[in-house]
Amino acid sequence: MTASLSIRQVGKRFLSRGTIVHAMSDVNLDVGEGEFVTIVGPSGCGKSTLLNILAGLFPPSSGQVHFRGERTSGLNPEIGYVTQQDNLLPWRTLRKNVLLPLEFRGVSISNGVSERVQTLIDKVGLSGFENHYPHELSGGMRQRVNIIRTLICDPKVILMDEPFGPLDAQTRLTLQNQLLELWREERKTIIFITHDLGEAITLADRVVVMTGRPGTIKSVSPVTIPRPRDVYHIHDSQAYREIYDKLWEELRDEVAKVM
Amino acid sequence: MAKTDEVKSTPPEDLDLLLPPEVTGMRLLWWRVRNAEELRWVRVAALRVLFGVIMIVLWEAVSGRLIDHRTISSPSLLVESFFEIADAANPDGSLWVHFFYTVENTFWGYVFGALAGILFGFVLAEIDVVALVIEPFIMAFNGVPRIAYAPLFIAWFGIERQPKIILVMTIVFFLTFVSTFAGIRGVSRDLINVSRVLGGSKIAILRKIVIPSASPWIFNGLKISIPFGMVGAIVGEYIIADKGLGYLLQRYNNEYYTTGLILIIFLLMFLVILVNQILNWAEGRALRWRPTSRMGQETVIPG
Repeated sequence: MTASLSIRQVGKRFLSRGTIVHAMSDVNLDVGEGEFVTIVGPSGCGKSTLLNILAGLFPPSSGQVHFRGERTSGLNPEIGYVTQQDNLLPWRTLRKNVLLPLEFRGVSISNGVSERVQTLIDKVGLSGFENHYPHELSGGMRQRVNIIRTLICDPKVILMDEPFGPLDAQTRLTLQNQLLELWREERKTIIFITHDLGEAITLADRVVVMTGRPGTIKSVSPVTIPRPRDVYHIHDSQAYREIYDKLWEELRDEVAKVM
Repeated sequence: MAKTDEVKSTPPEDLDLLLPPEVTGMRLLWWRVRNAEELRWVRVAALRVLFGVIMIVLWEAVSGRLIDHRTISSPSLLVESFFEIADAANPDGSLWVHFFYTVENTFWGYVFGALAGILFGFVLAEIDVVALVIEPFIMAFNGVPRIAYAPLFIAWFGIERQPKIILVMTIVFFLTFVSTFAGIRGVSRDLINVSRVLGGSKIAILRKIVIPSASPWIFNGLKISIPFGMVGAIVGEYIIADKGLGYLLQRYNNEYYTTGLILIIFLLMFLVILVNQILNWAEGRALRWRPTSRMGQETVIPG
């Protein structure tokens, strides 16, 4: 497996109220092309900081990030970012929101493009809502718009920061299922942050556990449960329970430390 | 996908079920007019007209009987003197000459003030250093009651239109400036970051994200500026002028001509309502995406 993203010795310090805060230090991780990696860790361990660095919103204080062998600096059009808040534009309809990144990139809206937009809208079950405004959609629907808005540009890597965090349990399962389907069809590399260990296991090829501040990688565990996975019943399997228990042990120590 | 969580209000009860079966004919029609949801606006409008008419009738009835008509005038006196003052043969100049003088001054002051306010709001909100340096000065100038500037403006710019226009400008400028500034400062950082990641250039983000985000605030500033801007024009004329509604107010005041004073108050009322309606309409068109508030038209301060 070739590395899509290589994270080398990445650290980040912030100046906060006159004192230096080490948000994260010495993070090393290789993410393969088309791989689905989830990251769990106690709150404040710098997970979001890591994604912001990978997205190119700000540079690391130390270390470097390589994308397909080349050192990154700044924003990269090949990397998409799905945030926890859906960040849709309230004055644009669903369809117009999905078109936003294409407008940003100067893509003219040809028939082919319109078709792809419609295909994605259909795929996540939003057909019929194309001309609705965000305030007319539920949280789960908005988050799906957020995801397909990122997919429309066809990035190679998608970073996801607790995208299903604010959703209720049933909606969450539905979206996990849809995300896995999209991932299988579109073959993206995904780095997905969550605070829900079950979600991390359900989705991932590998689960990364991070330590409390300064955040660093504690362990990386492959999830060998075969695909396609049934998000609704995966929790009953023996393999799931074994890895859940193992990861929970690791995570519990870290959570206890920050409490 | 279930849409259950989108239903924001419970559906209205089926009123037909509450209707006693013996109600028929004209009484049924009347009942429907009183209860039909789609006639709600008609009912509200009818009640408003009724309320206005009652006030006018009461006023007419009280005037000259319970209270001296020289103190509170009366609707009929008002109509009478309206035609007198509005007459082109009026030696003081027709009411309309004064009316349009004030309207014109307010208009130009409003346009220049609003343009400058919005422009400055944008620039200062985008440049942190300038905003930090200039903020206390803006607050200081803005904090002074505007009427205090009026004599100075008259000394500088004479007694013609200019000082009045400039007084209106300063008022409108600060109001639109502050609301534009706040609107742009309030644009979600996350939204801008997400747009950057999605490939938005600075200009594109300004056009597609910042301006629409800030526009409810800007509209709000524009709306609250109307009555305050008019204050500027009237005060300017009140202090020194030979034309304008403010000048008439001052003269009628000296003459203890209450009918004239009340007449001008009504004219100003009419003017503010008219301009407000125009802005409401423009706002409604520009901000069609917003969830409408219950009454549909009032300004919702975002945040």
